[in-house]
Amino acid sequence: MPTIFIDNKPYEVKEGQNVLHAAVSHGLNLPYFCWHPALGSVGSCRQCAVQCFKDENDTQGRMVMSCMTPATEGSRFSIEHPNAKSFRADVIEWMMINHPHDCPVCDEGGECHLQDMTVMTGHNKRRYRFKKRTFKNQNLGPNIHHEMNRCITCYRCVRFYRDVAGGEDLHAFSSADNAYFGRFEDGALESEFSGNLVEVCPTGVFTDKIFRASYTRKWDLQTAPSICQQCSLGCNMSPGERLGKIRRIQNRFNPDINGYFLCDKGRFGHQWVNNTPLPTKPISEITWPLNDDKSQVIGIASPKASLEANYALRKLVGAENFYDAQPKGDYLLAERVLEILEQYPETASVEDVRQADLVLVLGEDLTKTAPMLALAIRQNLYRHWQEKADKSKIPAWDDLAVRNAEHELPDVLYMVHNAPTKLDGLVSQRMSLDFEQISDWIPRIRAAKNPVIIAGTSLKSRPLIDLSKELRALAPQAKLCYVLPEVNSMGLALLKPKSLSDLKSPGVEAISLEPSLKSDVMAKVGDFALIDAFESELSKRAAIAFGCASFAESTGTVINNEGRAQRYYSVFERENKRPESWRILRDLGGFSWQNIDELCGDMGREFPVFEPFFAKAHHADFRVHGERISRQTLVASGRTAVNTHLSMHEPTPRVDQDSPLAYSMEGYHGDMPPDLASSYWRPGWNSVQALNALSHAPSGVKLLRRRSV
Amino acid sequence: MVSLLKGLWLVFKHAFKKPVTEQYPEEKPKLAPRYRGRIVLTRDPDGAERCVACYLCSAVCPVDCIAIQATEDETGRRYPETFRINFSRCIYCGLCEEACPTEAIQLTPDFEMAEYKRENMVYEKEHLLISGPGKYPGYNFYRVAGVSIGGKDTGEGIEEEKPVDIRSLMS
Repeated sequence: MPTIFIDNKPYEVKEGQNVLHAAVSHGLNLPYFCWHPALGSVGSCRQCAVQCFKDENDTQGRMVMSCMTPATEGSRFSIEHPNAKSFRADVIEWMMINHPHDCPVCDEGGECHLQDMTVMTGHNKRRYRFKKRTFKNQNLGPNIHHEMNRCITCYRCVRFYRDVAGGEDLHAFSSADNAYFGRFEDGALESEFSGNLVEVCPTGVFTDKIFRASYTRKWDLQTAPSICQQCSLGCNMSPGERLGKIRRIQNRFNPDINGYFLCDKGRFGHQWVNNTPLPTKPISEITWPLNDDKSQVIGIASPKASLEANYALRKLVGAENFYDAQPKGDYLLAERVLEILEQYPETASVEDVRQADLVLVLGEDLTKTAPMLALAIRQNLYRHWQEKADKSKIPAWDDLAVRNAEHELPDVLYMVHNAPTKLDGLVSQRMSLDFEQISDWIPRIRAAKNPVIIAGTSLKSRPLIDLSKELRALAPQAKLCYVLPEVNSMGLALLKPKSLSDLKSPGVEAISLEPSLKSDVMAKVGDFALIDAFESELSKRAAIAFGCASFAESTGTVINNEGRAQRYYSVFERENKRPESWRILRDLGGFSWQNIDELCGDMGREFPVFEPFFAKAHHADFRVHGERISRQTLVASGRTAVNTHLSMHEPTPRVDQDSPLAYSMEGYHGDMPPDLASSYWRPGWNSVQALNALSHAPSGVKLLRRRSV
Repeated sequence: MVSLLKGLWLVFKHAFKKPVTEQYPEEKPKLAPRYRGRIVLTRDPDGAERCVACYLCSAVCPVDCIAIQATEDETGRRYPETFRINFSRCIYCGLCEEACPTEAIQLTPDFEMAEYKRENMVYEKEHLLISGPGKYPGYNFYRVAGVSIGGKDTGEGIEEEKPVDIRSLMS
């Protein structure tokens, strides 16, 4: 690890980093705009200027752009040098010449990188006497709001949208002072990753339109670490709540899975949490309409529900009555996938897909079924360019140079699919779904160093799953990656449910965790009790419906497609708190679990496969310096006025029994365990860019082990 | 004995001095215009609500007694849907007025706010909003801001050029 000197202090930096990356990783206050850890450097904004010195005797130095300067052993820089400082202040002043007087009505305000950088450089008065240049905005669809006047021309948006995410409908128009970033004409952005523009843009040009409809500042949002519920990848995210409603979702950095980005399904698909909640009554107040002997009742498990809920159901009805609601075909596929993974437990994470030298996609349209894998493949191809450019002595972070040096499509993506997919332009070899010539590919797979074989259940094709296994058997270095239908499909499969199609006695009474039962399943069961968070057609047909807390109001564990267990934490509690589904099942069964840790203790004893995660997960009694971790920011506002139209009484915050987090601004705010951190902040860094100084990130626990024979 | 008489003399002398007591309810005190009393929300010179629901006053409030929820009209003009001040908590420090970027929230020289019920100390927007611009007559935030609202399209604000034609080569 090279050591560089910044303002005469030595800093150890990672091999191959540029000076800017090294400086911000060490928490130094060096302003920048166009650089982004996932986009690399282009040196276009001129904001990160530092003075560079020949050796310790050099007092004069010369100015360099830190993002374009490699951090080589012994090199010396100064951030505080008066030349560099005044240069950076001038650059900000130019950028602010046309920046509108918008902050009070701008959704980025309070988490704006431009605000932070302006404060950092000390610019506070516009000396320019002339008028501001303006632009017409575009309607970019239901998710993204466009406010082009605010642009500072850093080019991050098109670099992300086109170069990283492969989108084609966002362009840079015009030139010089009139550079404009938008679509050719009004219309919704086509890319599945367009929501990342909100976080990538250093100011308020692209903002979250859904958030805008019920806008709240960042500091007023109550957040908790959470896991995306939209697909089986289990991306880490951080939902923000105020006044009982989820307002927006932001990315939570996890290098193994989603990294710096989220897909639009994950980022914008959250308003269902604000649906009409299904009301509930305490167990003591209901008359149980089904058979009192719970062993005569079957349990219908759900891959959308947490591991805890499914386990509690299994415990209540017994292993022999524990059924999976999926159609027979899907059930068999899930069973088969688990069987294969128990034989070959080396699954590929999204990061492994980014790093692979061969990606084989068997019948999955990844942009639809697991969008972040599609993005990972795009990032993978770019990484190949970086590697090739490295041989020509071009550093990996030098984005423009890498893209200029390499144009050839790397021989990485092999796809078995009939229909057109959005990844087609990147495919180097393709085969139809009958895969008759698959043997042609075998030498290539064998020759690869770290290939990843991606298959999945979306085509419901058993032969494709079997093919993935055969290929894995031929190439021991390969990792498998299965795209599953739901967020906790893997967790449910590990609990070994039976298939409802095999149900011997039709008309049996049931307790269901699954809110979307198919008609063939409905035909098999008689009266049923439903445990679900929201009102639905099914809840009206149920003999009794219990309202439970949704994922945003409860703490639970889900296991993603690679067998990685991750915990999501309750973001908020509704005024009329509904119990978690496992608490309803506990009361029905008369079990003694007081909190999630006690339940997990029992589950770990019964299913040792989960034990490593429960051993590592933070228990409810975990404290940092004797304090719970706060879900609210230190400047959260309105505490003594939000409810005074209803009652003057100011209730004490509820105590969270299942996690070490507090529903309060009181509690610990400093450096915390990465699994419990839901927002990023450092003094002077209020935007998401604060995460660049993060030294550690959440990882979860991979559970799959080889089955001992 | 001497000291006793001295004391009595002092009391006797004061009987003929001008009293300092102010007959408060009958005589109103003269308060400076910048006295920090009851908070109001003002309107801009065009008669529209000045508050843009930026949440800065609620963030700076040391007792957290301001609760806001922002919303927008169909033209994109942002305003508070809810603006509530719990005056039973307010300490009249004036930080909200200092933080306000649009001169909307202002403290007035009215301190006569006593109530028998604490509930009556909670002021909603309709109780706070006055019909004039208060202490700062001229300022209209939306005239100088870059966002377009009803009646002011992009490029029509003060100190703004007409929008650029990005498809033109003549720039």
